[in-house]
Amino acid sequence: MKTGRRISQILFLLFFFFLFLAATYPLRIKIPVDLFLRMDPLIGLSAMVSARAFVETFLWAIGVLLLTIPLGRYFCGWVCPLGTALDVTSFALKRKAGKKYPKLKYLKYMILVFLLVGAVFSSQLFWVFDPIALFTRSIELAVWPIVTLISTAIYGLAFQVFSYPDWLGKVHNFFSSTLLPDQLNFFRMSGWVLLIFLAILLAEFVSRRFWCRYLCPLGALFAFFSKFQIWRRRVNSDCTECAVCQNICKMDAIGGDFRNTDYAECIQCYDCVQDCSPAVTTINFKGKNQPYGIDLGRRRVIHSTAAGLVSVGILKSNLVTRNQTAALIRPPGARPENEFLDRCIRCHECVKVCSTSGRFLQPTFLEAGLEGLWTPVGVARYGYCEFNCTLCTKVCPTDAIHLLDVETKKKWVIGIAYIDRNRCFPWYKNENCLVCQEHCPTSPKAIELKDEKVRHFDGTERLVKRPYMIEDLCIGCGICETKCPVAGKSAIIVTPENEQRWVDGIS
Amino acid sequence: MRHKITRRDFIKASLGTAASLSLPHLGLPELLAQTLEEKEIIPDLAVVTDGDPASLTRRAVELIGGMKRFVSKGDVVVVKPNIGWDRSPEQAANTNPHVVAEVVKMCLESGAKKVRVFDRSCNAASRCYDNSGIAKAAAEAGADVSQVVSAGFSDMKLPEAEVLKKWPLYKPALEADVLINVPIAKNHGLTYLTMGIKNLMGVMGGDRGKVHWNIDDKLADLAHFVRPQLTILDAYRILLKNGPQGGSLKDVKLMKTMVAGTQIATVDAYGATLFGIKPAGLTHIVKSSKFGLGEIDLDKVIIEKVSLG
Repeated sequence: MKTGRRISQILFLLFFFFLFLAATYPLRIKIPVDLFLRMDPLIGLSAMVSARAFVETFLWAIGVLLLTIPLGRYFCGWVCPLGTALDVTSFALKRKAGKKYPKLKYLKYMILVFLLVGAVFSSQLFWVFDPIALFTRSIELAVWPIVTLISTAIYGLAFQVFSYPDWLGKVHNFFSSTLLPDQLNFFRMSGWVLLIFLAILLAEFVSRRFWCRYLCPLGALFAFFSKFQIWRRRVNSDCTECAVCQNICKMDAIGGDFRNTDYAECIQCYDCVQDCSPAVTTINFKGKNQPYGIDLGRRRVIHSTAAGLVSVGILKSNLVTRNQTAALIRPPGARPENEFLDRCIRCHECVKVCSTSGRFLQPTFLEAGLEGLWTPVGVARYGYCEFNCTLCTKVCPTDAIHLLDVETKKKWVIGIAYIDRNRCFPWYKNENCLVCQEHCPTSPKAIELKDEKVRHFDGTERLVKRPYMIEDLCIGCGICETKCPVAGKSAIIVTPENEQRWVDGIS
Repeated sequence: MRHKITRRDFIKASLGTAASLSLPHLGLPELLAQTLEEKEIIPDLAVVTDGDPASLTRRAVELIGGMKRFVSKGDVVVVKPNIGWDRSPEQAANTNPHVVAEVVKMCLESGAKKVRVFDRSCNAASRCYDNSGIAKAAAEAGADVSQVVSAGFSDMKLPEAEVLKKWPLYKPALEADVLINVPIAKNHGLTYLTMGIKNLMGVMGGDRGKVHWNIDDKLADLAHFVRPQLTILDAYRILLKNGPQGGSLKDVKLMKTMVAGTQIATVDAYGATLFGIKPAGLTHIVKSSKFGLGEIDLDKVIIEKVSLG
């Protein structure tokens, strides 16, 4: 069964990566690419508690949660991609079970209470701790840029060495939109995300599954639901008390008496069954099942509740003013800012799937305030919103970005561009340019050129084509800002003026 | 409908005129010498109208000497259409996919070893390749359709250039045995029209935005350097307004016309007349013509017009 568990882990991890790579244009697969996020009950819970609305995608998670009642924390041991990544790390580093901190086990429950209390008051911090969102985010923001760096280097090298071989063209055609993109993806917050991800992986040096044992609120939620689990570790009376099981248990779920199991911690990994030399340990459905309880203790509940309330205070007293927040270009179909922040769990699926992936959609730093940290924002100088593209609206697991059809999207205003006449060539240099007008995708164009006779500073008269904004037509896609050839800051800039947000029943 | 002018007809007519007027003809000895070659006069421009995109294309190429004139057995051919925008064929922002496919077929029929089709798109490349219909049509016709790989650009010196002395260009386009330029005729805000010469921007790397400063001189320099052997101007549908990417079908006019020629400026000059614009008013075409890239005074050009209707 241990082999079976390993196969399951590997398959689910591969499936996760498959969905991750599939989250790109043309997005033809029928399976939702955010499936793992949808399966995660914590994400659904988070969105529903903070936004006080039913989120349809939660239906997947209900199934996962119901299975937990008889099967315990099977998800942690058999499915969770982060758990598998941790096991793989331990395997690669040849780590033993490591140090035990029994008191720290309560921390994850406290984190869960802290998050729930905060969520009630709309300070949504689930995104920080949710393992699936964290893993997806880490892969997208920290690992994926490295993959693209390598793949562009491979293309470059192959081109240099073999000139232009036909197989390279075929490889490029086949893989460029999935596995080996030709375009370097870069993200502003990559370094920070990578540090956190590495810290979680390297905590394996302290003890195996450190994250799962002490921090993971999803694990804590599963523990609450696995109270009546019937698929349990059982040891019969022939136990020789060799202590092997206790030493190898990566979840520290086996106590002083080797026959007893801390079922709230056990993830059914079968390590103890495999290594039990008298073969008296089994995990099965037989025998009596005593429900067990998790006693968090009044003090811990009070502490974490208090911490949750304090978090509300900190997050809601924004470190930035409203005006600064208003400078953000949100993806098309995004809900009004408050609701958007309640729902967004920073999985960055929208960032991954974006047609100009690695350019337009970027994680914020503090532009949206502390509570808006790492939310997706359009940065038009790096990239732009493709006119015919609705991909980001199709992959949001919490519906923070609502699904738009192509015709609606083409008219959906995410901002309006304005021309900086102090930097725009036709305006200050009296020289023709027009790149912004050429790229403007609306029909008729939101940028109009007018032939103007102007007196140049040397006294001569010139005929110049000068761009003007037709504000009613601009949808703020930002391609003008991306393509503006003026070095540094663009001479045409998109602001969220006039932006539309998705409101149920109104939009 | 076809008015075929063979060299022999031309000479006979000349001789007839000369004889009937009983005047000494100054060029007679040369003309007599040429009659021995018994060759057809190949027009400078072939203009075919009223047909479907594929047959217009095939006829136009036949009229200027057939694809065998350009493509020999074993050649590597690059067909460079306009795949710039995430637009459908009806929106007339990209070259018609059937035109591209037909060119590919003719190249292969002439014995080409390989036909490559690519363009550096302005929108996301996969979207443009799909939506334009070109990726599918050209691949089905037997071409190697590939997106432009950033590693394929390398800085090149343009020795005869006046302004654009150095720029990263796409090596596979320049290293091909034959480069066939297949632009679409469209409106453009800065150069008024974008056709054959401007279509060559698709082999440029780097920040193409900067090319737009002093664009006419730079385009002429580029065309002077890149030198496609054949330019086939797709005017099946032309975009009259909101170019170069359009979007509204109201701005599209069905012209059912195909123009082919070896001289890029001449092709563009004829293309301009389809929009009712005088070629002499288009600076980049005039400059290219001065570099010897084709006569733009259409009165001095031998044009063979055929209607398939």
